Amino acid sequence: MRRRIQKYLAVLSVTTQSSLAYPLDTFARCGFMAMVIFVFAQLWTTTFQLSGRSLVGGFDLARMVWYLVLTETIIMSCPRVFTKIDQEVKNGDLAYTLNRPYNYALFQYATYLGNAALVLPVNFLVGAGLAYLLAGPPRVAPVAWPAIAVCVILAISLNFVVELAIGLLAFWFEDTYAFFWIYQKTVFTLGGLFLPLDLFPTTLRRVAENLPFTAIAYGPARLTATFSEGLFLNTVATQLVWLLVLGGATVLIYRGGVRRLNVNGG
Amino acid sequence: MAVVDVENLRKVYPVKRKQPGFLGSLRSLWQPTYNQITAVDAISFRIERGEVVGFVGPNGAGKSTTIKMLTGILFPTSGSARVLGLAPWLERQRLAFRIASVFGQRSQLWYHLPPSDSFALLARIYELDDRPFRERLGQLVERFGIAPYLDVPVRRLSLGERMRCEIAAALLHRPEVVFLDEPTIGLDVVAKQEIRGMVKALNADEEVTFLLTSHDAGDIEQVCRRVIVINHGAIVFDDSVTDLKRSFLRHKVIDLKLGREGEPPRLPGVTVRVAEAFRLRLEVDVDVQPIEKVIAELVSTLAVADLTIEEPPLEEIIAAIYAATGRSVAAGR
Repeated sequence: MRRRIQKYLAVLSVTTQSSLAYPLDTFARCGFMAMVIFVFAQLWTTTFQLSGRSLVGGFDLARMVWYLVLTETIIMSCPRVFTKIDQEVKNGDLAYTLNRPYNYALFQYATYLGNAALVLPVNFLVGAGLAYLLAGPPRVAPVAWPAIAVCVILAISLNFVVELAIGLLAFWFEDTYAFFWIYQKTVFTLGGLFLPLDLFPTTLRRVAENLPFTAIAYGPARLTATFSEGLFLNTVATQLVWLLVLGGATVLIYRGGVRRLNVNGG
Repeated sequence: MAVVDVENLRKVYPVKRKQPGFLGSLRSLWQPTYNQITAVDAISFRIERGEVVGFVGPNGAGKSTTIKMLTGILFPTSGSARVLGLAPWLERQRLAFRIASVFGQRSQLWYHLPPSDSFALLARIYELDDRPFRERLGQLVERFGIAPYLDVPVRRLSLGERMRCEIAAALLHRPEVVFLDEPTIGLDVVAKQEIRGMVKALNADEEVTFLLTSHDAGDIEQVCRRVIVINHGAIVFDDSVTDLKRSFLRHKVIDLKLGREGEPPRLPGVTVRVAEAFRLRLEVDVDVQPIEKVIAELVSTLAVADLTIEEPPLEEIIAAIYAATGRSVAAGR
């Protein structure tokens, strides 16, 4: 068992080392993160000033900007694992990655986490620094942050499961980008990337709350606005249920796909 | 005991057909049509432990598909195969501990990291203990002469240097069977010789079984004792390299140096290619005229100072087999 865990930790470590080969890439992403937070902070500052209200949907300026820091950190730090798998299926590299004594999904998960290990904290620190300057300190106590970190890890894990499923669709479809595009835009809108669900119309909010996309962005980010133990446990439970459901679906896709696999170039 | 045992292995896959033009695209949306492509057509063969077998055939003959079925990546349409007693596509992970594969056009090394990092990672993946791993790595580094490249990022290595590291990486876990798919593709003459030497040495020292696909007849001629020729998904030849030449050799060339000028003999099946004052070059159709008879005639009628018999290169023989259809060649054997 120890050896099995060690192999995935080794994959994670090597991937992190590999991502250090291009530090400029990481800094470029952080630059974009800073730009996004700056623009949204300006937008919401103006909105609050013009409306003359200090609260919108239960969010003041600081809560809103810190919420956006979390959602943007999660979405912008997730490596595009679907592209990697899609390419492996198409160019035949799957002949190497599939033919090893490990669980293919866990190998990809370790690679995914290794790629996110550097960019995620850096993105957060850049976003948090800017949020502090433009909107003030976060409204939750420092003790809440480890719990929020747990939800962030579960959120990126949930994103992994969805992207793994999308990538595996390459067993059936020539191009999986269309599926990713739909998924990504749904997270942007119904997932609450740009706008908390609290500001949605009631019906739309109810629909969104029953979809997995909120567990990726809105769920963890909401904890930066109003943290409570109950809300934290509820968020974690929702994320775990979706992980189980979508993970099961991904396993079925994998099993079906591997049986019908035709590695290109063979 | 056979380490690879293949029985009527077959792989058929559908390829979507699209009619030309915009209307054709629309039609294929609501009424798609597929062609059934038989990549591997009921092949059977056995490989014993310690054999080095060449697996050759033109592009699309079914070589790589066969290897991918034997390594467990592809499920066959029908038939059976056992590698080291295991069914590859059903017991892929168990088998992965005991086999290795190297694909010349792909890399298993991490592109931005030095090979030493990939080796350490593979040691973890194959669950090797630290000490045996260090010992094995030391052996392979010495044998393959890769010490200077261990700490250089893979992206900075030449193709030959990378390929030596690729093969070393594949051998870390002491596999019993190694599948080499075009390991010398794109390499220069020196690098090819090095790779061939490594394969021969490993086979001799560790009794590693190799199944080697290559378009380079030199790989087959210098490394393999046995060759399987596959064409249109079917095996058209399976015997020793010597027998391949014997079976498909249609002509031989005799090069003569003469002590004094002389006329070439007029024999059926013998064509004069070069006729100079003190040199003759004759092509003999061995189906028409036995080579021994021609030599006897030459020695008795001419002042022969030196005589060499040349065979056409293996490449030429294999090309002749490809040129014929798979079925007719098989029937002609």
